Amino acid sequence: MPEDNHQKLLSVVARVFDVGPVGLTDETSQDDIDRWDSFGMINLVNELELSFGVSFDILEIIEFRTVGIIKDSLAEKGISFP
Amino acid sequence: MNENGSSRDEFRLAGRMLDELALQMPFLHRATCDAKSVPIAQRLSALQSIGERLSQIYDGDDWIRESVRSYVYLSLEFLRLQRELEKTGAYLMSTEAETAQHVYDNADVFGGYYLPGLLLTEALWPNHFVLNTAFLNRFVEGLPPNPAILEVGVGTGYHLSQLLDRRESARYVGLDISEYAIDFCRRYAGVDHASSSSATFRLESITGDCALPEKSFDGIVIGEVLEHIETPFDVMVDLRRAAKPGATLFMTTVAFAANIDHIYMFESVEEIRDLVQQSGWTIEADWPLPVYPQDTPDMARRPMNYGAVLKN
Repeated sequence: MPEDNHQKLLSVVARVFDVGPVGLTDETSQDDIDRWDSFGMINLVNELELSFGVSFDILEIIEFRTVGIIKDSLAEKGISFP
Repeated sequence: MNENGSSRDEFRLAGRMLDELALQMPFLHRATCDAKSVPIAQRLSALQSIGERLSQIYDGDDWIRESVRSYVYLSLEFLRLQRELEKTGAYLMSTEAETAQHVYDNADVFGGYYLPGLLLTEALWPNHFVLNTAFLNRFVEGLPPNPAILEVGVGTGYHLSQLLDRRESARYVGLDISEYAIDFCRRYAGVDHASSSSATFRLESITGDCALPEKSFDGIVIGEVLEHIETPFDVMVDLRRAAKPGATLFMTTVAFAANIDHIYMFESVEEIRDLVQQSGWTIEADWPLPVYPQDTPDMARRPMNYGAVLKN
């Protein structure tokens, strides 16, 4: 279900960065989350790849500034969002 | 003074590169600037000097965005590969044939992000900065007048540029397996084909049929090469043969630190020291530097940079 993928993405972000999913939006950015640093980014990418069964290259990862951008990148790989 | 601890006039290009880094990848900017082992204020002059050379090579200002993007790419690639190494215990590739195909002869890699990104690490990664300081203070300063120098793996030309700044009369032979590296090195160090410098370059591998003259060099530089070849012990023996009696060698390598083209695994600093000493060289001074600040140099299977000045 498309709704599930949205929740799944927020759950991954919340789990990796140890924050509550409430309050996470497409606009949530690196600047809003303390743990979204170099290692946090690599952890996030690993978790996204495992959870959604996709892989990202470095050029894609460089653009991951917000949750919304990550969602767009997942959508380009065929993951459906509402 | 600004947030990077510098005066903008003195380090204008360095400041612009750091501003660009903050724009492209804020957390990498923070990690780069907040590293405590060498405060960013101490690294700015090295970054400024890199910027000044790059600004002479390239027209316009696009080189700032492009070189910073290369640095971001290389840094993230390291982190991803290191995570994989910590899971699998093995580097991505294991033979020189693989790395030649996928890295050294690859226009997107060695002809793309790799060398500009690596160049910025010389100032921005604290361990690289420390090792470059050792290169200048302990190796270059100890060379005799008009030294004969062999560099194995010319890379970005960073070592050559610093050598020629201080020993203009050096007679230099540079070996590299990659045409992209030799071209980049020539341009960065300002040693073009028409220049009067006595620098010469050979496109060949140190592990191939590389006929080096015996007892010929006062100084040898082999920076970040041993982890890229299949037979580092044999190479260190060959280099000792090419060195004059009493010659010095400056080397850097890594233990358990991933990169796309690392193939030979040293698991600890002790393993590096053993190989160096068994090949006949004497360690005069060395710098084992953990990549992660919480680690100590004696740990095995943790990422380490290592540099040393050796005596024949």
